[in-house]
Amino acid sequence: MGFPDIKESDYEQVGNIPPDANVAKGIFPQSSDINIWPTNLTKENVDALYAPTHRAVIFGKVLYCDVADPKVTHWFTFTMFLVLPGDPRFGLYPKPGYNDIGDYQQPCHGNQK
Amino acid sequence: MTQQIKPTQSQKSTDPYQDSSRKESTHCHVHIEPGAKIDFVDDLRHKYETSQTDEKTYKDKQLFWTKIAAGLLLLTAGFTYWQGHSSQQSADAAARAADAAKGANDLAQLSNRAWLGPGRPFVNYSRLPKKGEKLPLVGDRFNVTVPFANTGKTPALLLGFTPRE
Repeated sequence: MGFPDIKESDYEQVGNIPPDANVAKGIFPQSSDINIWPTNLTKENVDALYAPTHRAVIFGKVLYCDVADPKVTHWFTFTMFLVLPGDPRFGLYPKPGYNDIGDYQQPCHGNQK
Repeated sequence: MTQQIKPTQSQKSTDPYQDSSRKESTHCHVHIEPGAKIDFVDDLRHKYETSQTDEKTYKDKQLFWTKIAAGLLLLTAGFTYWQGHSSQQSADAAARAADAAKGANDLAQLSNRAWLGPGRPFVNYSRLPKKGEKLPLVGDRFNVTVPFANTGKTPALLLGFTPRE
């Protein structure tokens, strides 16, 4: 299974990030059309989260540009295991293409998806 | 040239027809004696030798200038080859310089561009856990925060973000 296709409606504008700065993007089901467990967790959800046979992951794709080369749109994908409080495990999903970087040879005008 | 030699008295001929020849002394007789030179042969030889000498001189000159021309042609060919070789070397050097410049430009762009990357996601619950309670429980809700850091030297213009879980 490859990295999932991303639709245009999946993207959400964030803003600019200056050098050496961090931005923490919250994933809120209420503030986005990306519905992450829009309802309260069910017993099946909780059982799956704690089951050793299951791992929850969070993944996404980010598009950004930089002033050094406005003719190129950079992108990267990320897929990380979702770690619950008290769980020391952390890691990237070890499959090709799930944590990747690349460039689109398209000008940076905000419409690349 | 012929020489007309008149016989003298002392020159008595033994020719039995001498008398008759004297009788007809009015007739012109030409005698070519041994040792007499014929000028026109010398003249022809001289002309021939002169002509040969002239021709040899001419051919020597022609050969000399042919050699000079061949040398110049060889020199021109060598110069042309050297020029072409130099041009090729110049073109190669220009291509290498262009490659180096492109490499330096690419490196500068890579050094100066924005580099975004994700950090460890955080899980946030909609409520605080009670004492001894382990979240999540049935009925809880949570969200996830993913930090992004720009480790480059220029601002990143973040265009789109697609979180999924």
